[in-house]
Amino acid sequence: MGISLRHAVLLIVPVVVFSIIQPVFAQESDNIIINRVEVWGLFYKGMVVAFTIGAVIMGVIAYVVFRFRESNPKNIPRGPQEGHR
Amino acid sequence: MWEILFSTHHTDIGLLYIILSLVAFMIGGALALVIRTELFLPGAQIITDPNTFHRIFTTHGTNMLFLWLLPFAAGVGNYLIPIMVKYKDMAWPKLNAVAFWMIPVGMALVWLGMADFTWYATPPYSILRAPGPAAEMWIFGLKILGLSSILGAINFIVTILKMKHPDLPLMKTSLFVWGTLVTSIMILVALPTFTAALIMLFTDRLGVSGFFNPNMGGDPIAYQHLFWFTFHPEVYIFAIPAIGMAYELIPRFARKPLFSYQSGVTAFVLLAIVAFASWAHHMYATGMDFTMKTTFMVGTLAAVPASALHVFNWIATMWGGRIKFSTPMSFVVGGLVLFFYAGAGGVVNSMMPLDFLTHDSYWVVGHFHLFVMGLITFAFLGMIHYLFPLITGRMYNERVGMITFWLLFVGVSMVFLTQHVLGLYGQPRRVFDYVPVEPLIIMNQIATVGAMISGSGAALFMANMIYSAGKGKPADMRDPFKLGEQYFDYTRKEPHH
Amino acid sequence: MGHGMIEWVYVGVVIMLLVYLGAAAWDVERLLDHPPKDSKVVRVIAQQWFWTFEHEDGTREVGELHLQKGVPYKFEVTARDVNHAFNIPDLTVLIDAIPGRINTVWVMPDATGEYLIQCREYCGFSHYQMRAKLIVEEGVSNVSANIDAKDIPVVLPETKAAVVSN
Repeated sequence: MGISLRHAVLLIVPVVVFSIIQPVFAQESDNIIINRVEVWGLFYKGMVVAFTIGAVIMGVIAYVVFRFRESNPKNIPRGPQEGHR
Repeated sequence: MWEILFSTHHTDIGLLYIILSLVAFMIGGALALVIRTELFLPGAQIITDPNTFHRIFTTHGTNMLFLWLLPFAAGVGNYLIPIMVKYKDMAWPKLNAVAFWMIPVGMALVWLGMADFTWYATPPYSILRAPGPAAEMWIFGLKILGLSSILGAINFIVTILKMKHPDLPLMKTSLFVWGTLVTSIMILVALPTFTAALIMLFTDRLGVSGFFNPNMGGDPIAYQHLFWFTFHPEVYIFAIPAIGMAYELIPRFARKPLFSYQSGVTAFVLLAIVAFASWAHHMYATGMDFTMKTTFMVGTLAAVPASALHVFNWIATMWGGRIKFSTPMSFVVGGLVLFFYAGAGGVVNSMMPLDFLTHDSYWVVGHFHLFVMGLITFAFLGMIHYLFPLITGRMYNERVGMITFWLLFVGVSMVFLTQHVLGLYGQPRRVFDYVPVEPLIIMNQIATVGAMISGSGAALFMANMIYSAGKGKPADMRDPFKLGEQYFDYTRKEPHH
Repeated sequence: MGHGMIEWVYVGVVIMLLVYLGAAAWDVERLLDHPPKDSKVVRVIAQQWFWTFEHEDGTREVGELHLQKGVPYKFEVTARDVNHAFNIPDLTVLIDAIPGRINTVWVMPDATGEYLIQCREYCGFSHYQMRAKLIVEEGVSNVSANIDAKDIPVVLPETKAAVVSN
């Protein structure tokens, strides 16, 4: 299972990269682009990724802080634990 | 009291470093409040002369980086590393003292000079236009501070690698030890470049050389390469000790073993190496060619997985634990949250065309402050609260500590998240005044209010520390935070006491 | 390394996202890096603490820049004394102005109006107010970059005459 996941990632990366850079070769000299549209478009793309990851990570942190805080009733210590270091 | 000034013992020197850095932190903070008050409204407020403003922000930045962040990390390292490697002191105690006492000298030069060329000291301005003797004092001050850093780094490396207890393998030392080791090696590799650049700046100012002087055939961009080759790794040098401190605090306060020691070591080593591969992302706007920009973008992004490993490690450690959110833990987790925002903003910066939006704007100011005030200062403040009983034998006031945390968390978020937006609206950095239109004005005001909130938090923190050091309740030295299950004796008994 | 799968998946996802963003950035940078072949050149000279602009035909403007909508311009940017940076925030134009060096950036203004030009690199006393005004005007006819350039009249800045080149 571990090895096949690594192989899958190795395969996906070039596919993803090629699909994204494809447009660059189509647009070479004929159409003049509007700089700020391109730059802000890229910015929004970055923001979508950042906010999505952000939501996931903030959500996980919020969950951990809430669920595993010591005052949570689900967190009463169950007596002497075995296997202390 | 008098003896501490001549001591070479690591706990005394550690304490001196910590006190000096906290003083610098408060003074740097006061300078920041002056800056933010001035920028509350367009036009001149409390400062009438732009020159003064420029000197203030240069000194603020220089002070915070070299007199707060580095010495505090050195102080905690001094205090803890010998204990953690089970040795009686640092490898060379006298050298240790020398390295510390160089810092007040550097501090005096920087503060009394108050140079005006920003903490980058970029030529040609710093050579051709910046007035002396402020410029020379800054140059010499930084020389001395850099040397102090190098001497301290050598001491840490030798202590950790050579003086550690023979029965203690390196792979069983705590991650704070690893962080300090990695940081110290990075200092040795990174700093000499800037040392050279400082000398070159000085001789250029004297007119005997023209390294960066275009009138003498020199290249100002060469300085930027030398500067950033040092100072990009340097920002990781600032961050890694804080990450090491987080590794100390999180497993303890979550009452759970660290998720993966191996992953922590790997992430530290990876980060240290990749840190040297990204410096010219600070120079995207200098007119670099496409291939160079791409190379440095890749180098920059390559550092992100290492940081991601640390974040994963911390969250996975907390998962399933029984977390006590006392002041130290609150600071560290708050710092973790701000670390994410700082990192996300960093990824945006590294995407080359977005530099057109963010370069030299308030976005950058917001971004790096989320690192230095967010992750790093919060980890430091969490650590100082944690070490307070160890150092003073007394307990600080926990409720005041938590109020401090909330004031700083809210305040820091307000200032620096807002500044990201301010930068997108185009407000440049290092400006005494700005175009008097909304929404620039309201955002500057929000940032100033946030700064005031942070400032009150910082003042409260100092009051807590000072009062409790003298009059705090004596702490239970076996378990001052009442964490219960102990993985590590709080007072870390040394073999040679 | 730790407790297995989930950490690998997490790192894999992070790396893929970074590759995605990096590729998208590379893509846009490629587009922005090549000025169109028929760009008009404008020299931008920064000095403490004002901006000078020189058009192809020798016209010089100080503190103000007149450009035409729909025409691609290539700025050749330099400085006379210390480092500055040429920035038109509304058109996302930003490049350092470094003495002894010429840096290039291009833009095609697509809307008329007045825009702010500011300095984006600390350059001393009046850095904060080192500004200029960009005025984008209509050409005599709408100049569209798609149409064959030789039939379009072009307004010369100094005489305001419309000229058609054959």
